[in-house]
Amino acid sequence: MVIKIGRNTLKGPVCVASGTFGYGSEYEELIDLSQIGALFSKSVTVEERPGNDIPRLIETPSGLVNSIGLANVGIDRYIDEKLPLFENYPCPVVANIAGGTTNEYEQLTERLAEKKAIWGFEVNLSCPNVVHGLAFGTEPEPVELLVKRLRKRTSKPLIIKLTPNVTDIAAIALAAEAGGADAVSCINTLIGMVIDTKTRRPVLPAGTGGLSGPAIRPVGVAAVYRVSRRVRIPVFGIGGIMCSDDAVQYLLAGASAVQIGTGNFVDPSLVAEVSNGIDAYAKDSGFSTIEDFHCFFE
Amino acid sequence: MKQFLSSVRENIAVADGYNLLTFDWPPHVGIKNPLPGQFITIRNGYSTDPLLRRPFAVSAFHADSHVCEIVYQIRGSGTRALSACSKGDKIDIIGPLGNGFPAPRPGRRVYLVAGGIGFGPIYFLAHSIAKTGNPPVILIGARTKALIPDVSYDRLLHKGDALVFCTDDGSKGFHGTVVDKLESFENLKPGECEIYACGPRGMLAGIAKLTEAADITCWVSMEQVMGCGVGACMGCAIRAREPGKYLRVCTEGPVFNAKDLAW
Repeated sequence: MVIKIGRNTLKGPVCVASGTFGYGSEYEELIDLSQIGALFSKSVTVEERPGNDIPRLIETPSGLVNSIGLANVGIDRYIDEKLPLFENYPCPVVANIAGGTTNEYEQLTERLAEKKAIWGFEVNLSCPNVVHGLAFGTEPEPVELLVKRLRKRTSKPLIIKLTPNVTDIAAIALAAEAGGADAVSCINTLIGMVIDTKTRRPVLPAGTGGLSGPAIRPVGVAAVYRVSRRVRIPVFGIGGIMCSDDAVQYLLAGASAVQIGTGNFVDPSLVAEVSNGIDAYAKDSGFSTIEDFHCFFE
Repeated sequence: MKQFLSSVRENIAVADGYNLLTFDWPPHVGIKNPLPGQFITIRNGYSTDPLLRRPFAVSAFHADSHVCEIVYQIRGSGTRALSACSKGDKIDIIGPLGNGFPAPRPGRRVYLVAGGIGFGPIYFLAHSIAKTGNPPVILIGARTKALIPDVSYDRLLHKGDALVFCTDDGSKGFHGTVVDKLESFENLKPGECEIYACGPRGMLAGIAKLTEAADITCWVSMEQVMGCGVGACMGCAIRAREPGKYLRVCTEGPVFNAKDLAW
């Protein structure tokens, strides 16, 4: 099934979420990358970042709280070292960009706008794990302004990744659409905290982290449901997909494609399994397009 | 590395709270044999709680029969679930992962030091080095006798080897920690010996301090909570010696030169 994103298309609806698939090469020995609709690469920032202090991960019931802190190679090394890898991949690569200021987002977009190896952009407005947290993702107006500025700098697909840590996620999605976004991804991680009752301190040095995994799937499905009824642009459903039935829930809720995140850690073969499972579900249901999933309830 | 399904051959208690899991390592093209110091991740069943795969250092690999072993401590939900596996059960493996121990340089006396949960990779390395004819000194430590794995030590006992058990309470072998025992050797001289260690962080820090002061090469195998196990998620970071820098246990490690880490 072909997925339309702006003027471009993806050849399949099952993607891998930023931050869970590195730069792709980490998984090359384990899975056939051609099964991936689009590979959303690890967030890139202007400067290289070593990441947050340790520990960075805590498992919770059916979930994972992380505080990686955007550890990444920075845009210079991303261009020099990672783009040559991407050029040889059999799947499109979406650059996930994260800035601390509007100017940084603009720089990142400009540096990659003309690169052949980059199919499109996903704008991380909402990484909850950076100390000087981003205000961009939580208010409609700054989102619309930022998207407008980035829209001027690229004709490639521009996807805005939404945080669930807001009162009305649909309002942010509408702002992204008004600014000229081609799609939205929902959702990023939920803010979470785990406290060590022996030390009486949070386990993560940063205090809070981002909760992902199957524990958040119903939150993601509800967010996709609410957002997709308000915007006309496609929605990527993300959050806790562990099997094809989970992905089908997102599609029925209104998503045009899905991203597998934490599930990649648990089972790298999940991309293929979900992709085949969606095809089988569509065939059994007589669906030939993604839009066929979207008309069952209001 | 490859992801594959394996059959459990045996899953038995070898010490208080420690199991030995023996499982098939299929002889497929593309699945490399694990080396000492390398690890695997296991997913056991389809439950999402516990969610993540669990990493385990390989404790033995039998190339002739294609059988692999791990010795693991039952200490949380993942290892508790693994301890319930029995013969014929299928487990999902990814491996081999990580870098493994570098070979000792020719002519060096080799000291292998295991404490508690660090037993597995040192046991594997001991067998691998014993075969080369350069007999290592092996120190295996635990709090008490009941925590020392009751496995075969036959092939580590041939002439020239020194296998010393150390217990904090003196219930077996040397009365004291492996670090105490190591400190008692008088011939730990730079350029003459190399140390390989795995165990609790406090023990490794003690050995790192001792070897740094004596200017001796020391390789340590580290542990950290892991997300992906393949270098993608940056979750299993540990602090590097260089301030503000981090290293991934799954990819740059799990074996590190002790002088590259912050203790």
